[in-house]
Amino acid sequence: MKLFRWKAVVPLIVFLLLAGVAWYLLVDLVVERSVEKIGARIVGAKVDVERAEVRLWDGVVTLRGLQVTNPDRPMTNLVEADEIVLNLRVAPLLEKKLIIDTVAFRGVRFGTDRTTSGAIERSSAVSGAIRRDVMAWRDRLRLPTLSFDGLGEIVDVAAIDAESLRTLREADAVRRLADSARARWVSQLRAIDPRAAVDSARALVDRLARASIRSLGLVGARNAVGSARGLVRALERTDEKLSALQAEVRGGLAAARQVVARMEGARTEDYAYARGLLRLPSIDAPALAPALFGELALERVVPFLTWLRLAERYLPPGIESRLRQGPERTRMSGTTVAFPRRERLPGFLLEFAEADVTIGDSGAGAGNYVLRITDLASAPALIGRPTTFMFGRADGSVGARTIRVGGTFDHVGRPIRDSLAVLVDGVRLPTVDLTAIGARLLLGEGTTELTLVRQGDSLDARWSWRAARAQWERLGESQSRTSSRVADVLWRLVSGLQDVTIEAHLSGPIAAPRLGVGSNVARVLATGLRARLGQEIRRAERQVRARVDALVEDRVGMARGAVASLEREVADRLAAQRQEIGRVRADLERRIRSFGRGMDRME
Amino acid sequence: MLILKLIQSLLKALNSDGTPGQVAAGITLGAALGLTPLLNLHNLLIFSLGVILNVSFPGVMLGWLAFAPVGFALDPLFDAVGRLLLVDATVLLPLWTAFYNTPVLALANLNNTVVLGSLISWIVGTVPLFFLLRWAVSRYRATVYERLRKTRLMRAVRASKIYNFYTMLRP
Repeated sequence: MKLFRWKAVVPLIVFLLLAGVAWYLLVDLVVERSVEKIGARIVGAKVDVERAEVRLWDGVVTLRGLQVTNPDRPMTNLVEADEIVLNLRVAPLLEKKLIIDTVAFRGVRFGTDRTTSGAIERSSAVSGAIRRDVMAWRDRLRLPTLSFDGLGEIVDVAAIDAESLRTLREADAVRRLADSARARWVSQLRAIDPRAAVDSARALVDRLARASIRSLGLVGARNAVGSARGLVRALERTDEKLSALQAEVRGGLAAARQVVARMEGARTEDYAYARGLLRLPSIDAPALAPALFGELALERVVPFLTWLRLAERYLPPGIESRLRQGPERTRMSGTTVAFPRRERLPGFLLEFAEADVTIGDSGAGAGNYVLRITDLASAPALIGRPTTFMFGRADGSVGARTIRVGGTFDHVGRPIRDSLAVLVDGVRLPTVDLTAIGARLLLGEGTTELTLVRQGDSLDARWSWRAARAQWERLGESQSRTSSRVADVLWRLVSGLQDVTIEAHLSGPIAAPRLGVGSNVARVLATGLRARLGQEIRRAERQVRARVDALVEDRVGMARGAVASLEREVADRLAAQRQEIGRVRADLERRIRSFGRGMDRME
Repeated sequence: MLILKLIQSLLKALNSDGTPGQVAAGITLGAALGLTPLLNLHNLLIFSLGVILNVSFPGVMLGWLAFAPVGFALDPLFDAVGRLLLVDATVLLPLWTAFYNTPVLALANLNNTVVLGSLISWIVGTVPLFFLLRWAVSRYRATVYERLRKTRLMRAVRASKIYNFYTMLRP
């Protein structure tokens, strides 16, 4: 029987050729869908491509009508481009690697409206997880509220619910920690049982003190010395165990003291919380600024943090294997693992892109721009160079006078180092409704500046908005949350202020950075309020503090007492027992030495 | 018309021979199409082998159809096998790195847990599956087919067009 069916070779070749032709005809559609799918996976919102044209042999891919949805505003595009022409290398495609030499953009617009929503039902595991993580951080942030409604009213301190105070939760945590530590350490101490060894040693010391070599005889004295040495070794072993327990107790007590310190710190937070609950304003500038501009800062910081973390995810350092979700298909997706190898190409590389971007409408961004990107790679360690990017205005027609964006993502190795500097001068800044003070702030034209430095997990970023000719509008009574008497005072304080600066500062671990907000508006308000309403506010504040203190004092006292008694009962007892062991061991050793000298003389 | 003619000639070529071994080999090859995610490079190779090798092509189709639901059901198992090989077996890391960085081979998606897991499972199961199927086809022809041929229903079917299709499934 023949192994091969030679008659089928020609039909098979024809079939394969037809399949090849079908693929060639469909490749445009495949590229179009791939860009949409991968783009949506990265961005976390819809990416639309009107048409893709692939000239494979020339290594040219043209994308027409690209729309990238802003994930935070699904009816707006983050960016829209009429045409993008990519010149790519063909050979690496056989390794499933996309190496782009140059990119040219035409008809780029930012922030355009969409006709349909660009939200997607289920964002990819990566962007979805990052987004959820950032939103969880946002939800955890407790921005102080600012309200002057409580002024002039009777302060109803009974409204402060004890169970909502963090100090009490921390106090309970301290007590639980102290109770469980006490139970554990006492049982460990009981298991070591130093008393038996100490009593035996003490009895032997007494016996040896009353005896002499003559009364015991040489053999009896030798036996007594042998017993004494055995007891010294037993005491040493017991002391080692006690020493280990003492180290553990010291560590445990240090941890307990930290929790106590946290409990004390929580009281300050509870004062602020209770003040907010009773609608009493804090008149300190550091508390006023986040209350006034915290939301504005967060609105801008949240997407920025998300993008920063996405960059970390898609430009990871190192060359170890990387896991990602497999392709979407009817069958299970599974996990796809990338195995980068040194001196080989990464899965994606945009080596050099320089684009003249023309924004031709009459909006604030109209003008000619230059965009330059180098070494954007999915595995930066393989190319050994950081990603750099620059975006700036070449010449402008209207809108911002200066736009300068420059930065470096150094993800070649660990720790990763990012730096970013953005300066936009002459841009229209937002208008902010400050309902708490019954005014609207029209920042008008101004400067916004962002500087960022990231090293490893540590982030330090500052974002500022400066307006030299800000204007103020008084909100109507229906829009304002403040009584007219207080609103009058506030209006007199801010209405003359033209030079306005708002600053947001992010610092600390990138997963949960601290947000600080500052503004000269807050400083002006704080000074003015202290002068005009300070006495009234301070009186109400005293009442609130007294109520919080009364609510927490008992349980805080009990928590402090629990830690103090833990210190007395366990730490002091341990130290005393070790001292006693030391003393009795020294007595024993003295007796051993004395008997040893006597026995030497007799021998 | 041209394509129909082509398929006709292809089928004619394929039905030229059909021992139990050929049918079993066809079904075993077809099982790869059903067990592993279809649109992958290795399946093009397996399909080509099904055509070129002197195995039962209807057997290949039958294997594909029969094993496709099995493939869906066993995907979690394939995923686990693939993960074991790609992620946990660090000794194989140089092999996968070489695959991943080799032209054409990189297109085979062997770095996906389900693709690799299902392909390896099929390769491991090929020999036992072939012998089991060969025995089953022999038994079928010796017992079931002979009895089935004599039934009134079968005689009616043999007179119909469906039978023409059925003949494709037997030698």
